Amino acid sequence: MGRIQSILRPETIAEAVQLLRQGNGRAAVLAGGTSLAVRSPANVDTLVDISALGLHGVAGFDGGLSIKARTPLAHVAASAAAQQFLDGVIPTACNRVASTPLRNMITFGGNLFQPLPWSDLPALMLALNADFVVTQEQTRTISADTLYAPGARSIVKPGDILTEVRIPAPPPDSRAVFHKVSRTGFDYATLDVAVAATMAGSTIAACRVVLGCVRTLPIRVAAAEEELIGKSPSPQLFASAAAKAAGSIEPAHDFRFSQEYRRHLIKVWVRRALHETFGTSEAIR
Amino acid sequence: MKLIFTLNGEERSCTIEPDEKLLTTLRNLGTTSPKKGCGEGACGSCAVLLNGTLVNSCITFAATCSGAHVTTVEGLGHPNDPHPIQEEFVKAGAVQCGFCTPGMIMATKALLDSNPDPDRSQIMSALDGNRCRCTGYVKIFEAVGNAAKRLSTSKGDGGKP
Repeated sequence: MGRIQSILRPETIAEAVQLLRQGNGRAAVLAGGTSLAVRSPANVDTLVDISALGLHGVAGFDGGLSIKARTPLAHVAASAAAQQFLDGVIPTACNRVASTPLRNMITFGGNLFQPLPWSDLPALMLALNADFVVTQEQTRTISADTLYAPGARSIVKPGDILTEVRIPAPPPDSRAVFHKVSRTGFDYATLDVAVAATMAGSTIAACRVVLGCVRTLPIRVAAAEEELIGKSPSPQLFASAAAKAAGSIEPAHDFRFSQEYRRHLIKVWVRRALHETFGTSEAIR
Repeated sequence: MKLIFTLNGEERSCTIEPDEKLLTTLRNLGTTSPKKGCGEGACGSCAVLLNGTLVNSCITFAATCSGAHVTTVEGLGHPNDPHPIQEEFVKAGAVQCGFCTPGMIMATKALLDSNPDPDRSQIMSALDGNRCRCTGYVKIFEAVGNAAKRLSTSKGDGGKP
């Protein structure tokens, strides 16, 4: 307590960028604030509130979906544009984050751009191949693959403001699912599974299988993706892809869940998520 | 620093610390219905309406509430003239120690403002950020359902803003 000396509320992005740069590493972006209010980094003494920059709203573009960074999860979940996109997989994921009052506060961009080990949305955005539009002096776009690559946090520079997340238009016959596995509805995830796939006739043309909350950052499971692509969906295929996913990952372990248990969950939930993705009949809780 | 905002319909002006949370500000102003439970946004006993939206005031920076409208239980009713939601909580026996009750009431108000006729799963979802550690939620959900029925059948009289 007491470290934050000032909270500023600029009205333009340029002004916000300038304040962050002037802060010289001691200024941080304040979006939903649910994390900063509980624990702000020791070196931060200035917060730059981005609520007046107009970074709010969800809209379609060329078959894709654009979500402004400051939009609270509750608004994303309630958005008609988001509900119509890929059978509403993004609202489904948003509604699994935390609780009603927190979903009113947590922003879409905050959950993705300052990910905590228990953030749920990074896994889904990696599966959907999202792009992150970042503004400083110039605007640049960072892919989810780049943003969540191990050790890639240096790609985010002091003064950067995430303004928008753009999810590209999925090719025809695409689908996506998201599952959060947690002990209770409110608990942090033990595991997130996100799958996005495109069919070409009866074979799987493209597929991303992503695990969240098993390490600090979401992980694409190449072993499972390679197993699936070019083949026809079948229960045997899903079981072998799930086994490969479980075998290729070193899940984090902590006082709540052992590595073995998380690995078992990966095997079970990747298989279930694949059944759901491709419309076969294994029941999902 | 100075903060001016509207609390339960009345403009208030006060001095706050830069990193002060809204919960502290409210309680310093004598509005003590919001309670500090966990202090990190998990329990909902500090929940208030900020511009009509349910938030946890313990993790809301007061400095971001300049010009905002904040509603607490004090803005809904008084002991001599309780709000129908408050009455239904009492009637259903939805209150034990009472610590979580103000947050439950505000979560109920937020729900019924947007959805006057919620089903049970919608009630459970709307109150998913509020913890009761005395016993459970059966009577609480019952009270919310009863309040919804009463408010929707008594539009204009029993139903206060």
